[in-house]
Amino acid sequence: MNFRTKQFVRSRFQHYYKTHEIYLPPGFDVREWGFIMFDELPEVRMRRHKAFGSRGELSDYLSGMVPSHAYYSTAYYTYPAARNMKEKRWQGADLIFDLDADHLRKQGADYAEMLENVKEETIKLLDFLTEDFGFRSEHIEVVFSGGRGYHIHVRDQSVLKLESGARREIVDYLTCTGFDYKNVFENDSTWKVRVSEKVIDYFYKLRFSVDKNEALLSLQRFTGVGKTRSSKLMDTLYGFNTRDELETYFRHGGFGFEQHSALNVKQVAENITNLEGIASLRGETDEPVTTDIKRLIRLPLSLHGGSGFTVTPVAIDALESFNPLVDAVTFGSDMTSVTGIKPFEIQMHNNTYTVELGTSVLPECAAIYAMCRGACEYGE
Amino acid sequence: MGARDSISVTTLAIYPFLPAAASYIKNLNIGVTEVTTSPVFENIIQKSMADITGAIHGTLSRTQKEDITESEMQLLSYPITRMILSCMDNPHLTQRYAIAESKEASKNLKQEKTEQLKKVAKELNLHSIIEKKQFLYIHFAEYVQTAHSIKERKWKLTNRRLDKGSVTINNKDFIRLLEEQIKKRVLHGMPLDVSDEICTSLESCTEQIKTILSQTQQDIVYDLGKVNQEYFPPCIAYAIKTVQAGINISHSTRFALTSFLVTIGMSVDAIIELFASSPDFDAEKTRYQIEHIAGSGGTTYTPPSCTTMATFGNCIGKNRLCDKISHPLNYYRRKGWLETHKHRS
Repeated sequence: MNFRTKQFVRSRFQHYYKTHEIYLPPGFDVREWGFIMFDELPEVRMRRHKAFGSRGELSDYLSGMVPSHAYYSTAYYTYPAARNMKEKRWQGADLIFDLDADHLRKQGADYAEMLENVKEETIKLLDFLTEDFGFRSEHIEVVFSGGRGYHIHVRDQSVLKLESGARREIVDYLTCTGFDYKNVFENDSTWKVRVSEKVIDYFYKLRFSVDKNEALLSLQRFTGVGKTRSSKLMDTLYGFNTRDELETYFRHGGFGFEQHSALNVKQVAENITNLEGIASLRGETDEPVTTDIKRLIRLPLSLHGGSGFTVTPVAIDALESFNPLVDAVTFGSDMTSVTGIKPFEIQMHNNTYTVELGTSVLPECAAIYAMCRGACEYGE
Repeated sequence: MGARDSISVTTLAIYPFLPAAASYIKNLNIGVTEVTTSPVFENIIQKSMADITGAIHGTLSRTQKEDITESEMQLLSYPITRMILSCMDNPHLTQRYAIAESKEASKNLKQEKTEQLKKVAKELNLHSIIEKKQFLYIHFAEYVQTAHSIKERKWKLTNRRLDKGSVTINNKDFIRLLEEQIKKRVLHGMPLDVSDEICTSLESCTEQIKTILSQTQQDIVYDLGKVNQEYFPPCIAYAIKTVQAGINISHSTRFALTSFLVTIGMSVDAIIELFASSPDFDAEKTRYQIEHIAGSGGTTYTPPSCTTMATFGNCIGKNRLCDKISHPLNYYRRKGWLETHKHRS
C-alpha cells in the first residue's frame, strides 16, 4: 500500500467510524485493547495494553486514530492496561472458537465457496455447543471475522474461569480427539453413540444396498481380511433380514468385532467415519485460539484492514442465509480508479469484479477490498 | 452453613483440608503463636510429623475418632503440616503429601453415603452434582476443570456422555473426581508465605524430615546429568534434524525444542549454535528468545507435554517408550536411566 492509497483507505475508514455506532463487548472496561495503525503498515506492530473506561473514549479513539485493525482481549483483567500479563491479573476469559478456512480439511475452489464451507462448519459447531454443551443462544455470539472465517464467543458464566487445560478438553471433544474405540457399541459416551451408528450404517449398506462383489472388496480393505474371511463375514450379514436384527447382533458383540482380530474395530471405525461422514460432523476449530486464554480478538463492527469488510455479528438463526460478500460489505458503489499490481478477482453483491494490470475502474467496495489485499493502488 | 448442611468435627478431622475445617479452626479463635506455645502443641506437631512421614512411606492414614478434642487437634495439625512443608519448600515432597492425603481421603469417601459426598463436593467447589435414578450428573465445566489433569483416557470429555451440558458419571467416578479436587486443594497456595521466625521454630521438624528423606532417597530429586543426545525423544531429535537441515521450523516447534534443551541444561551458546543453520537465523534475536525462554524475563518455561506436542502436530516418530511417558522430559530421564542400568547389568 503506497502513501496515497493508505490516505484514501484511511479516510474511508474514518468516515465509517464517524457515521456508525461502535460495538462494546460486555465488560469492555476490564479488557485489554490493541490496534494496528495504517501508517505503520506493512509492518504489523500492535499497539496494545490499552484500556477504555467509556463508550465515548473508544468511539473517539476509533474515529480519531482510525486503526486498520481493532482488537480486544477475550480475557477480563483487574488492570487491563498493565504492561505485562502478571500485573494485569487475569480474572477470566470468554470461550472462543476461531473457524478459519485455512484450517478446514475441505478447501473451496474460490473465496466464496471457501466462505460457504466455513459457514457450514460454524453451523455444525453451534449445534454441538447448544446440544451437547447446552449453551443458551443468548450466551453465544457469532461474528464473521472480516477475513476467512467466523469467531464464536461464548460468555456463559460457567466457562469464564476455565484454565487452558480444561479448554483443551472442550476442543478435543468437538474434534473427537482422543476417542476410545474400545467397546464402541456400548454407547457409554456420546461419541460412541455417533460412531457406532455410522459403523452399523456401513454394514447395513453392505448387506442391503451394495452388490456382493463390491461388498467383499470393501471389506478386504481392512488388515487381516482376505477372500475367505470377507465372504464369511458377508454370509453372516446375509443372515439378517432387518436393520434391527443387524444392529442387535453388533450391539451384543457380533463378529467378535471388539474382542479379537477378525476385524480391527478401530481401523474399521476410523475408516468409515473418515470416509462416510463423522469426520464432517466433527467440529473444526483452530485449537490454539481456544486454549489461549489471553488472546486478542477482532472487535465486532470494526473494519478489517486486510479486506475492508465489516467484522459482522450474525444472529444464530440468520447464519444460514448470511452472505459475507453482501452482508459484510460496507462501502458503496461510487466508481473508483485503481492501478492494478497483480491480476485479481472478487465477487461482491453477486457481481465479479476484476483488477487488471494497469488502470481499472471499480465500485468503491471492490476497490477498497483489492487495495487492502495489496492487489492495486489508489488512482491512475 | 445450616446445621443440616454442616459436616461434624469428627468427620472434618479425616478431611482436614476442607474449607469447613478451616472455618472451624477459625471459630476456635486460636492464633498461630498460641498454638506454638500451647502445652498440647507437642501433640499437634507430632500429628503433623506422623502425617508427613506417613506420606513419605505411603502409610498416611486417618480414621474417624469420636473424641472431639482429639479431632480438634487433628484439624489444628493440618495447617501446621502445611507450614512445615512450606518451610521445607520441596515441591516433590509437597506433591507426595498431596497425593497421599487425597488417596487416603478417597479411601474414606468410599464409605460415605452420596448425601455426604455431595456435601464434601460442595466444599471442593463442585456444586453441580445431581443424582437421578442410579446415575450422577455433573456440569461439564466443573468436570473438565477437575478431570483434565487425570491422564487415563476414559476421563477425556471425548469419552464421556455429554448431553445439554451434563456429563454422566457413576459413584466411583464421583469419588475419583473428589480425590483429584482434594489433591488440587492441598496443593493450592503452596508453598505458603511462612515467616522466618516460624520456620526457625519448626527447624527440629524440618531437619528430622530431611534426615528421613535422605534415608529413603528415592528419585525425589531429578538430576538430568550431562546432556546426552542419544536419550532425546524422537520429537526433539526430529526437530533438531530439521533445524540442522536448514529447514525453517514453526514457532511451536522452536519453543518446544528450546525449552527442552534449556531444561536439560544445555547452554544458551550451544543452543544458538544449533539454530545457526536455520534459514531465518538472526543471532541477536535467537539469543534474546532463548534467554527469554531460559527465564531472563522472570518466568521460566517448562517444555510442552506430549499432549501439547500432539495438538500442535509436533509429536513425530512416536515409539514404544513414548507410550510409557506423557512428557518428553520423562522420555529423556527414563532413557538415560534405562541405558545406565543396562550397562551395569
